[in-house]
Amino acid sequence: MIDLTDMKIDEPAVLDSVKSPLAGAAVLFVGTTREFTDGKRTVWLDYEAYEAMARGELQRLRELAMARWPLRDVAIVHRLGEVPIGETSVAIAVSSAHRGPAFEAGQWLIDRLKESVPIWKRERWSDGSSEWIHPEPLG
Amino acid sequence: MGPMSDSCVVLLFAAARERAGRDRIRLEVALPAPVAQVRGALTEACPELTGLIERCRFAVDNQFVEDEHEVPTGAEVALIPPVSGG
Repeated sequence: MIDLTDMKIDEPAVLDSVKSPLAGAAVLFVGTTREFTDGKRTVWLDYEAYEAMARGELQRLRELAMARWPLRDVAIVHRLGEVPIGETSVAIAVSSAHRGPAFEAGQWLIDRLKESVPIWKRERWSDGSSEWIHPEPLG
Repeated sequence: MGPMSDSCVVLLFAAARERAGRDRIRLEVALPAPVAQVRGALTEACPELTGLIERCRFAVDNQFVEDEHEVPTGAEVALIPPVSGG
């Protein structure tokens, strides 16, 4: 399952989509919108995507992960539009015969997503201002 | 030699879209041409992107490309500011 959605993400459905009798482990990562960043209070966030490319990049990451680890399945769902504080903005589920590869691939997928998938968030701060977040590359 | 085109449309997102005040811009760049030429024309046409465009990547037909990449006629070109999904 690869999806971009304006609706609330149904985490149990994302997890269920990767479960299998052949997988003894399923890992679910959920990213949620945080209220405080460096002491500033966020009221809500907006997410925007270059949708066609974002879907392609998510699919590509799924394929790379499945080639790198012995996984049974990978699901990635990202929310777009307005997301209130505390709600889920991204869910990644990974299943595997054993837990090690599922944990590793889950971490790898969220790290890569944050580097290469064309999705952007805008913080709406409590003072009424807003700001698109375009991080400096690390290192 | 493939077909020629005398302009190139670039899609804009997030802060780039907001700064430019539009979600796409047509540049007078004859295609095919390297990405570097499109970048130069965009910088000239949209001075308000200064400070951001240097940190942006380009995508052609939904793939990240380097500045040496040749943009073919009819390609979908997008300016990709540093991403912040998750």
